[in-house]
Amino acid sequence: MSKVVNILFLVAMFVAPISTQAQVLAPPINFDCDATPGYASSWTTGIRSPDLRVQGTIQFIRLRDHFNWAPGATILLISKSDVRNGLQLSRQSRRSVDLLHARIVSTDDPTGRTVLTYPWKGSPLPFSLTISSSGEVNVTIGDKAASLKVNGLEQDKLVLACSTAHVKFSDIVITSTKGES
Amino acid sequence: MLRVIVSRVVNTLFLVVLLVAPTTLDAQVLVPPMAFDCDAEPGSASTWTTGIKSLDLRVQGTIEFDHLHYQFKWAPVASVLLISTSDAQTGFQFFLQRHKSIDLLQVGIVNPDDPTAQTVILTYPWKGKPLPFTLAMSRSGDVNVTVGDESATLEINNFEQDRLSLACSAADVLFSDIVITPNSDDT
Repeated sequence: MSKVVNILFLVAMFVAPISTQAQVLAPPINFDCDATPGYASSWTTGIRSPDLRVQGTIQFIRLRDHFNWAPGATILLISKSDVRNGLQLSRQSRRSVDLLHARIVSTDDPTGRTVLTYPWKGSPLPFSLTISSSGEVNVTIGDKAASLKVNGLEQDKLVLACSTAHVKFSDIVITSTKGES
Repeated sequence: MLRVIVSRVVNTLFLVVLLVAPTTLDAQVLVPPMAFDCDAEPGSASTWTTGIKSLDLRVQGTIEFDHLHYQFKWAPVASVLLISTSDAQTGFQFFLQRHKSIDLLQVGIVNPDDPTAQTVILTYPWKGKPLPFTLAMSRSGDVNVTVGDESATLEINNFEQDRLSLACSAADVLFSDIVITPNSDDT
């Protein structure tokens, strides 16, 4: 009996301190990100779960012009060793001003692989970014998906950002996927 | 007797675990602090918003202005606001009164009963170090604002808080070390 009490005490002590933020915040999060040409706006939070999913919608309201910076937005996971993985949306050419490219990117492949090319003027596009403790990064945007494999990364931060554009990240929910099949 | 006491302790602890565990989904994933690097040109705003479910909460962190984008029509502003279900707002706002000085920012308390009449609690030179701030709301309706060394309290009624919003316009502002906790944590 004393063992059961001790275990329950430990569980209660472990769970209670990390629950203060959850007692206060009620998802979803919205980030209306409006950055001047050549600058970026970003929201950053620490993360602790090795298995997590970020999901929501993204909508470009306005693309701005800058000599060096293409308008774009990113959803990135950054590891303790500063390895970055995630989803990047940007205009790749001034000639195709109506099209955005959504790419799965990583520190090893910063140019990334195009998952979706779409006209940016329109309704919000659903997206998700998932990482598992086995090191699989999955990205979905609209009805397209892509994945890449990363090894042994301890995730540290999540960043949502935009540059040279007005972008709305809406209905952002961040959950642990531990226990999901 | 001992068995009854142990059984009660076990039951209580089970209840604590059951009560606390379902609310920990976010906390299992997100680790404070947060940061919001807010850059918006004149006439536009960048805003970070989250739902809140606690009747009492405390938001603390620092704010630093890196750049003000001057324009005739739009004055630089930044704000930390609690918004009610009926869109009433309380909290504080940094703003520039250009006719006074472009080097000084003022910090005003936002009163939901009279949003246009802000009580200025601090005037300070914006170029410099990050300024610590706290916005706390109690169950009884006391809103307490501390910015730098200055504090003020508002008593508000019938404010059903729904969202927390950090925002800026016509400025490049860094909100850092943002921690959001129940206000009752250390009272």
